[in-house]
Amino acid sequence: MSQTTGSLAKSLTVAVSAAAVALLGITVWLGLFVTDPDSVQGEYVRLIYIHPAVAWTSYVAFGVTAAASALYLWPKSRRRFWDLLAGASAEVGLMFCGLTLITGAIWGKASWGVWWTWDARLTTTALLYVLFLGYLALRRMPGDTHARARRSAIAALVAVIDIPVVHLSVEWWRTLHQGPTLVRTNPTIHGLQLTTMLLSFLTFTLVYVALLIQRYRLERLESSQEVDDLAAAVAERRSTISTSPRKTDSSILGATQ
Amino acid sequence: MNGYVFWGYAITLGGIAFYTVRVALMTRHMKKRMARDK
Repeated sequence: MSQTTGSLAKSLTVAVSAAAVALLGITVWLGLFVTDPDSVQGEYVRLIYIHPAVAWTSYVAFGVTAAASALYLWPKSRRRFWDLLAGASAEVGLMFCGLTLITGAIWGKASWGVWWTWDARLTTTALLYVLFLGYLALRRMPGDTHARARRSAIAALVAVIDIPVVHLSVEWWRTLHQGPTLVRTNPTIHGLQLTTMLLSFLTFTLVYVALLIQRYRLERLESSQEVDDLAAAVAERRSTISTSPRKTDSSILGATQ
Repeated sequence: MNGYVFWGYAITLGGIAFYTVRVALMTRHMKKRMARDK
C-alpha cells in the first residue's frame, strides 16, 4: 500500500469513527430526551431507538460475513482478504447480536413481565448467536490456513440461513414479539419517532463500519503473527533435528534386545 | 428516567465502548509483540 493510500485510509477511518460517535450522541439525545413517550408503552418505547437498530446491525454484519465467505469459496475471487473480513465482521456481529438479546430481554421484562420466553423470534435469535459463536470457535481451530478458511466459510453460509428465519419468524408463527414496525405499507410510527428510529439504523450501521475497520486490522495482525510463529516453530524444529545425534542400526538393535 | 430504559441504553453504549477498547488494546499488544519479535 502506498503512503498516499495509507494516509487516505487513515483519514477515512478517523472520519467514519468521528461520524459514528457524533450520530450516536444525537440518537441517544433524541431517543432519551426529545421524543415523546408512547400512549401505549409509555417510557419503554424509548428502547425502540436502540433494540431494532442493534438487531439490524447484527444482520448486516453476519450478511457481510456470508458474502465475504462466498467470495472466498469462489475460486476466481479467492483472496485471504475475504477470509479475514468474514472473521472480523462475524465477531462484531456477535457483539451486536448479544446486545440484541440483552436489550430484548430488558424490553421483554418491561412489556411482558418476563426476561425470557421461548418465543419464535427470541429462540431463533439465540440460535443465530450460538451459530456464529460456533463459527468463531471453528476459526480458532489449529490447522492449515486454507482448509480452516474454507470450512469456516461453509459454516458461515450455513449459519446465515437463520437470518431470514429470524426476520420472518413473527409472520410464520404466533409470537409474543411484535410484527414489523417499518417494513410495511403503513408504518405504525410517525414524525420525530420515525425520524429518530431511521437515524438509529444509520447510526448503528456506521458504528459497525468503524468497528469493522478496527477489527479487520487486528485480524490481519493476528494472521501475520500466526504465520511468523509457524515459521519460527518450523525453523526451531529443523535446527533440533540437525543438531541431535542420529541413531545407528546397532544402537537401535541394542535398545530392542 | 425509567430504570429499564436506562439499563437498555447503558448496556448498549457500555458494550460498544468495552468492545472498542478491547480491540484497541489487543491491536496495540499485537503491534508491540510483532515489533519485539523482529
